[in-house]
Amino acid sequence: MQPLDDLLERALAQIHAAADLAALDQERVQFTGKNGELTAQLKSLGALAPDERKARGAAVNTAKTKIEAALDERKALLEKGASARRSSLDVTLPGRRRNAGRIHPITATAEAMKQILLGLGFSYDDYPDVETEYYNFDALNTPSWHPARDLHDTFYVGGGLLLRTHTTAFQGRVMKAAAGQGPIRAMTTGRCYRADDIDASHFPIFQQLDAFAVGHHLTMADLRWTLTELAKGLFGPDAKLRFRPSFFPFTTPSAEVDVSCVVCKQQGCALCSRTGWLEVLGSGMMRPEVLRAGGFDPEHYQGYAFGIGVDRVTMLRHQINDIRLLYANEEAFLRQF
Amino acid sequence: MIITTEWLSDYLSPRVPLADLLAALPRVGLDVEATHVLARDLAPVRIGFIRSMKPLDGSTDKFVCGIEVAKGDLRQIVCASAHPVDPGWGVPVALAGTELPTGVSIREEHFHGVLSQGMICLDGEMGLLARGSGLQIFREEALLGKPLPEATTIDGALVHLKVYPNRPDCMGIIGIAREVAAMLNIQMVLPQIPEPPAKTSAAIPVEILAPMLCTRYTCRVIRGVKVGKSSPWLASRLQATGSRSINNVVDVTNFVMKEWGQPLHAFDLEQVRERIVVRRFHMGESLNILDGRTITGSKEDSPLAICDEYSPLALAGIMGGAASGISDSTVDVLLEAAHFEPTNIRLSSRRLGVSTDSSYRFERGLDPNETLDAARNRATALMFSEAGAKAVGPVTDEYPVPLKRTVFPLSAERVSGYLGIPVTEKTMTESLNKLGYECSGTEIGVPTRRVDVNDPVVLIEDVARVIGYDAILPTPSAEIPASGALSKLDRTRKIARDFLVANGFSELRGVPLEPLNPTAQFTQLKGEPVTLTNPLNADLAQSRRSLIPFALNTAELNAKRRASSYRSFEIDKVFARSGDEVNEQWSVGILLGGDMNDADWSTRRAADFFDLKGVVESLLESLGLRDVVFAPAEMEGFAEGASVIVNGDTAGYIGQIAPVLVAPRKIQTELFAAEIMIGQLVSNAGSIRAYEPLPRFPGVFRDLSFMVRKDASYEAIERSIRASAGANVETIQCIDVFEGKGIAKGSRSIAVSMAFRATGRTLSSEEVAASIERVIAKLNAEFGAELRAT
Repeated sequence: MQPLDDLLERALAQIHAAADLAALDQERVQFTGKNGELTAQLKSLGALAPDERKARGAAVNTAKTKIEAALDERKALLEKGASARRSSLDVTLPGRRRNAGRIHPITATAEAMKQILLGLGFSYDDYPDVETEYYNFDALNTPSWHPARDLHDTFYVGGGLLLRTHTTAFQGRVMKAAAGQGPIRAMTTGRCYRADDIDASHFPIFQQLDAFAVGHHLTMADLRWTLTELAKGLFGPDAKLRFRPSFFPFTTPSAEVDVSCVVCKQQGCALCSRTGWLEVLGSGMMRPEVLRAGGFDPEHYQGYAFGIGVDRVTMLRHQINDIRLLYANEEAFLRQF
Repeated sequence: MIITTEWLSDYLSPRVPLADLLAALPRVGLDVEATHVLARDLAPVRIGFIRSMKPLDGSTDKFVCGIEVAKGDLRQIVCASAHPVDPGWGVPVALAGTELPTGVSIREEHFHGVLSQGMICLDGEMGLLARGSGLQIFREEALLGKPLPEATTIDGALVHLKVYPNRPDCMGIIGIAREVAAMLNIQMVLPQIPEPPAKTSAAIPVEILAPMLCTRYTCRVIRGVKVGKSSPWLASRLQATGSRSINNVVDVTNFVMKEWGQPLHAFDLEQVRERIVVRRFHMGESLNILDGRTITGSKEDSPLAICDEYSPLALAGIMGGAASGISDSTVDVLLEAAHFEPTNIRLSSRRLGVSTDSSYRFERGLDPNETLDAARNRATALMFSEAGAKAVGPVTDEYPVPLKRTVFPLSAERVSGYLGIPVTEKTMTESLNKLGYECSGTEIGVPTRRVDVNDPVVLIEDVARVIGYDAILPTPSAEIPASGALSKLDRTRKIARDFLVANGFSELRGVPLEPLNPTAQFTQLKGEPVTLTNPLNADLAQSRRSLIPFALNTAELNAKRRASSYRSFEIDKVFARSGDEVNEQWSVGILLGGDMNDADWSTRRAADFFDLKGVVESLLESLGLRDVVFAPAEMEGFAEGASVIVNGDTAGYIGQIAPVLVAPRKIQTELFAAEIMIGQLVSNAGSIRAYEPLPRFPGVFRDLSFMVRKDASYEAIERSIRASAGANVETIQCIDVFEGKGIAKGSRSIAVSMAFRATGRTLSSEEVAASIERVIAKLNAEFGAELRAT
């Protein structure tokens, strides 16, 4: 007489392994069928002493109940379509796959900014890379004699045209299209060009995002609120901003804006040169000259404006220390985003 | 510009901690580029003891010193006689490799063939103001090798900062002190200017012939100077802030320029004949200036000159003449303090390529009034104390049209409404008073040194700076904005980008400038390239005309990194011009090649033309563009390919990149590229479509396989089928193309699967059979097609 435990264990294992209903029925026949192993156990009870028979009978019946339950359970599963484990399928082999494409981190950063600003009511459009001196400089209170033009090493292409040195050039075009009627909330992003020598933090081509708003009562406090929302969206809810006086020919008051260091949380690290702050953007209240050049009466309209280096913010967000990586487009680099 | 906080503190009362001073500079609006706290940053300078000293052969003013810089470590240093040294002295030594806070790097150098391994540092050379003789001398041998800050108390910091072009009044340390005092709410203390102890009646008359270019010209005669070395306090202030000490007379003018921001000039009076005339260079007239160059007057736009009766003496506001400057034998000096029109100085400086501390200040605009007078008087007084002047003459002052203060009205309400925080009139006027404005109620008088104040908004900025930008709390606008919108182009780009990324293509961000005449242009644009008139280098010389060359460069880079598949895209502008019309086109460039899958252990396959064509077809479909035709066409850079015609207009090109362009780049696979001018598709892309009801009656499906001449294009065949199959044909799909074994040469076998469906009823198989008959007959008639099986 074989031990009952062995039989039960074997039966349950085989029932679990049954690949389909036919195989399961074979297991049923083998164990609980008319000539099944368990049936044989039951039949053999008669040969035992009465008290032994009683104990043995109870055990066999328990085993029978368990086997029948397992059969029912397996049957229900197979009827619902669960296929059997086939030993020929090695599920651990790698999937046949085409890697997903990646969005370039500069685009991803610009899109993130656009998304936040869209929510703040700014509308998006594109403007020319090849710009007139008028829109790039003159309309922005930077006439040809202005020393501020020294800050820009401009690429010229002839015919009074240049490659825009900042996306701020779009302000005049937007205002002209608005024909003196506010309010305006506009943004753009795109390539800008300056004759900078190439190093880890300079590239002659970079991407900026510019935005401005014109209304009857817009204030520097509005600007600060807008930029705070932008910073929180970009760098997380704990991001803090610091405004420093600065100079741009097209804004007064002008402010250079720093964000609390994303890496060290202001504990001091190499990225922020242990200052706890990172310079991210320039901003200010639009100059009356700029509003006037755009056909808006500064007696009735006030506006604010800001411009952000998208490459720089991208580098900060991802802690990239060399701008050249952004434009080399090595696959091993792009795959990380 | 370099300033030292110790010097700055001369004009502040009470003295404030260094940290407060440093924190105030950015609040002023100065762009602080680097801060060197000297007690920290002078640590590399160590005390070395002079063990030996002998004159340098072949030199009259240099010595070779053996200096022990650490126990037993003897170095050879050549020193000049700027300060006498003696064996046995301990002195501050910077060895080669040290960078001093002033920005000077110490290197090993040879003097007359003798190696010098470092420098004995004067106070000024280290950024310190001289306390005694200008050289710190130590006697205790125990200090050998100690860092200087451990051997003596060192205060202050050297700050490298940039003054923005709107604030020329901060290009003198007094201007900065005024602002810092306002930020820290302390007093500014101006230097004492004693009356000259002795006077003479000697004066030089002045005539301004170009009053548009020279607003004011003042000068005075100073007699009996003794030209020589400057005293340590003066020399160290110049050295610490990045200038050389030249001689006491010139140093006085430079010191006053750094103090007040007003450039001065000292002429040797002996070289000034009769009088001063301020005029442009005459045609052909020339002047040798201090840097050794010769300036010659030309027909137009001659630069402004300071002349005597006969000839130019100096390039006005920019640089002095070589002959009229201070020499060792100068006894009498003519001291000039003038004001020049900024734009003209700027243009001359640009044109001549001469930029000096003086021109840098004049071209940004200076104060012709109090600052000019104060600077001249300060220099006059210093000529007595520093250069031994004996007497001074009266000031000759030509000032045809004196500049008056402007007055702007400004209300506290306006300030509040601009900044978005409540500002009282008291706060407003107090803030402005601190900066030197004269406020009479809401009428604000602007000091003439503030050349940037041309609108009341600048006053608002000044108020904001004094109360601190941090006081402006973020406040959401009361004006609720309309919802923002994206442009149609932007939505189109996003659809394309998302589609390509989802299909395994990675986005590139390329360089939008390319070399002139690139090897293959791939361009679809008509017109000339947009070329830069002043390119940075030959590789970045014109705006790119196609996105494909950059994709190819990237493929080459990735091939070096053992890439086996290439799937990239970029969305950017391409450029061309005809005359002044510049065509900026938004384009999508797609590159495909190599393994179709990145991980594949069973069905590896390399991409081909039709893989890329499928991508382009689906891309255009995702943009809602259905009328798309591919027509065979040639394109520079491609081995073969097709124009992509959308809604009847050519919108792009797709093809295999010429292997001659791929192979030299060590890319071991065929590459395919497509470039679609997405910008011109925007008007048709992504519009919202009305839905078509789903079919409610069953369709009938038939496959047809036939042999046909190879030169019959699939497009022609499909068009023929569609034309002959009747109105009920719903779709025709190519399911197999085969040529080779079992197929006659010059023919191929094509199989198509057709779906027929009628609207409103069930099609009968007889109707479909009749359609098929017609299709077969037509194919046979047009292309000699023979049926293989149905």
